[in-house]
Amino acid sequence: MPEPKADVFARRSALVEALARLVPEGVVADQDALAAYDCDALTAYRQKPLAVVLPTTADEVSAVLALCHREKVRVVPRGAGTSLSGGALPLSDGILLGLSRMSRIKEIDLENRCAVVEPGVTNLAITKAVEGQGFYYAPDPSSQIACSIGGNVAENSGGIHCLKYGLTTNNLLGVELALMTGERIRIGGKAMEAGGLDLLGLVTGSEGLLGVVTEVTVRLLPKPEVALASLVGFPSIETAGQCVSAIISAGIIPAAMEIMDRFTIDAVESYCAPGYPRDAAAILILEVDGIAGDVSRLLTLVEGIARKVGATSFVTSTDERERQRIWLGRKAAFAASGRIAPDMLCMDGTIPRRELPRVLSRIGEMSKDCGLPVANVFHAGDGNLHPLIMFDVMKEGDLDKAEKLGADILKLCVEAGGVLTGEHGVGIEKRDLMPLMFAEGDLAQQERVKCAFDPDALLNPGKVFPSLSACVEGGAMHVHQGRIPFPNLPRL
Amino acid sequence: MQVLRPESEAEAAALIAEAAANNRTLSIEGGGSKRHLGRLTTPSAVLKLDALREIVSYEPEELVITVRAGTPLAEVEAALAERNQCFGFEPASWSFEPAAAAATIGGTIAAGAAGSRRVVLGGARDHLIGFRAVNGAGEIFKAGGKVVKNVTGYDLPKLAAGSFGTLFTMTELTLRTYPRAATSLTLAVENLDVDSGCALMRRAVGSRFEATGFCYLPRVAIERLGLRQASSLTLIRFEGDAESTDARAHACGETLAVPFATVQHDDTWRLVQQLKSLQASQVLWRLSVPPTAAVGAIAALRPECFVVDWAGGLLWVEPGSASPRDVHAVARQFGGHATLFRGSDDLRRGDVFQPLDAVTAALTKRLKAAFDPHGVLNPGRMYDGV
Repeated sequence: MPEPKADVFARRSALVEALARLVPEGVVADQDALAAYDCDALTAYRQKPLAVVLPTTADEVSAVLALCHREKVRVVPRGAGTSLSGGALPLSDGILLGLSRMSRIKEIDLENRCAVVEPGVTNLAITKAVEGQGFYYAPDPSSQIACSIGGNVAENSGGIHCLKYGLTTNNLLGVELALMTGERIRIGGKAMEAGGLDLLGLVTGSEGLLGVVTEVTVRLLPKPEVALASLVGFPSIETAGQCVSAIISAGIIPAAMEIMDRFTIDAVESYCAPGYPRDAAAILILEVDGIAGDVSRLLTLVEGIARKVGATSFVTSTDERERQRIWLGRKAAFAASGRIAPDMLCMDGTIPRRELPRVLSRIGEMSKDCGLPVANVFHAGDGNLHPLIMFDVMKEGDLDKAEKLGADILKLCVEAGGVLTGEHGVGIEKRDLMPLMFAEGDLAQQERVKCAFDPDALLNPGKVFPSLSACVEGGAMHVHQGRIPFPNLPRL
Repeated sequence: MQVLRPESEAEAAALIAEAAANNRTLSIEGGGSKRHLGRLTTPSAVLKLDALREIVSYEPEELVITVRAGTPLAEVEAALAERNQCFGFEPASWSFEPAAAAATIGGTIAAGAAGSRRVVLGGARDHLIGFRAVNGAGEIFKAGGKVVKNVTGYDLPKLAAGSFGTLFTMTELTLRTYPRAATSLTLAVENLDVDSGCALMRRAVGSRFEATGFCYLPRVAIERLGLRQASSLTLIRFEGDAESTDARAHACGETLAVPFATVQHDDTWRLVQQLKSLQASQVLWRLSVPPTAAVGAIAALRPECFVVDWAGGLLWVEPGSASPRDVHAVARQFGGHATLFRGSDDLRRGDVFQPLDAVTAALTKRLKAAFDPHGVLNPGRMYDGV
């Protein structure tokens, strides 16, 4: 992380007083209370911030940023703190700017199919607010019950329905953004396109390095008439992968396609017994949505494809309860795997699907070589892998081995033509692996973009871009003793 | 004007570096089909990328294609069609005859030229997933990736789409592809006034029938196209296999409770993408507004001719006597933005794109400088100083 500024520590009490004047009742400065903010969902990294500020209005956000800009104090924005990549890890000499109290739904405009919300509104709350009228907000990160829309914008969050409905960036119409100076700009609104350069696209997924989102206008979609899930068993993980490619080659884009390997199936069966086929080496869960006639015809087509590729079983939900049961095991995969070993690391690379057999068998070899088991669950439609590395932090050398294996897996993804992160973000976690994917010139160009927004590097510095002094081997989410951060959230 | 035609990315980089070193400016061009777009500029030379012409790789089952920037759009679309795929954003030609055929993939994306399907499947920005480019200092860089799901680093592909070549010169693009529908069925409703037509489209786009196009043509546009006699046409398009489109179109029509006809493979959609009814317009504006604002904006502009697309979200307007200042004011008043799409040289020396507020304008200038510090690439094409 950037070298802390000694002068800022010296000015701490004056700063806290100034912040309290700007945001009365919204400043946390007590050391014990600060401990609650010392990490996000990447709990392997912890750091108490200088102070926490919890504004309730955009004007307060602006005032805090303007003060910090004037005083050259660093700021780390935070939504609900569910980032898996350490995007909201505090700085010892920085203010943590929490947006969770800005949680009003300001407007629902179904005629224009959009909702205008404050950044602290949870992802799921948006859908809850409009589902009675037959609408929903499409991106569904697994933490959607807790994660905030502002954080979703910062991370460009995904979910299981990305293949058909896109990530956050494909479902936004506008934001209000506070710059580090405290000035606020409106990018887009209720129209489908904003004028000028596509700043909305640039800011989305910028991991809190370019500005602080103070309002979001999201696009709403009409809820499909029917959604059905199928559970398909395969004799090998390769045939499951072939089935996914064959479905796409047939011109079918299901709402979701998820693969789990034998290891994970066993783990979830002992954990919550969703009734997955015990004889299958891998399963594919797929969901098809649309009008009733289309859904049943597509499922017939898909079953034909699956059987031809070698599926050993194919069961489709007949009602919502069964659909939920099929998803239950997938949603519990993370927590269930966490029970098998004391510790676990979750990776997030994306690869071209054709590379699946090679990458998976190579991961198997690497796992055997270093003696740490790896479970494989992934968003198969878009090739987004989530290998889960099992280890025991109490065992001498295990953590090092696990982190090295994690980094090696991400190297393998990049070599296969893929990327370091499909949906969790770079954050602090994969920062030092960025040179695997980007040359020096590529990174320099991105850093110049940062400079255009924040020349003093006050906003969330130390994230995304590798710093010269850093030497941490990253690329993983750390779970200790099965205590995953936000244990009640399903992790997909 | 001097035309520079690099045959490789390295050569393009060298030419840009040389221009930067000699304080020269370059107009960036693919096939030259969109010269009418943007502000009028006076570059030292044209950097024409049509020799960078190649489909580098195409993997239909990955839904990804990588092409060199100067490859003709038609060539890329033909390659996709061969494998029963297409671009989800329905690239629009955004040109006037006879230049349309020259459109390249690089120019299409740089202009953000998306068609009717944008309303449901997203714009050019949503389908560009990675690129290679040369910045204004002549440095080659890459951004994004070659897989459909990726959040590694800033999403510069979004910034590239619609930047009109003012930030960097793309040399290679990786795009997401989409299955091509077996058939298209259009639900056509005649003789609605613009208010009722737009209301109907808004109901359709908010329904569960997954239509992929919603446009409204008034009498004057219909006459120019030489279509049937009607005082207006409201068209809602369904794409997919025959059974599916038939079921959805009829269910939608019944839900909307209006008299309708269905048309198989209605050619009107192609005419709309090609701006066929507006080819003769000497002054043409493009407005992006909230769908409910469409009717108010049209009434305020009193256009001679207009076409409504995206269920009201997009207006093509031949504005009668309204000045650029008027049109920009109307767009702002109704919560959207306006771009002069075609106009006299005189008009193109003024504000073509919606004027920015002071903070956004300053930020836009700093972004320009982050990519093109010497102002070599299409300077002034979007905004003065950008």
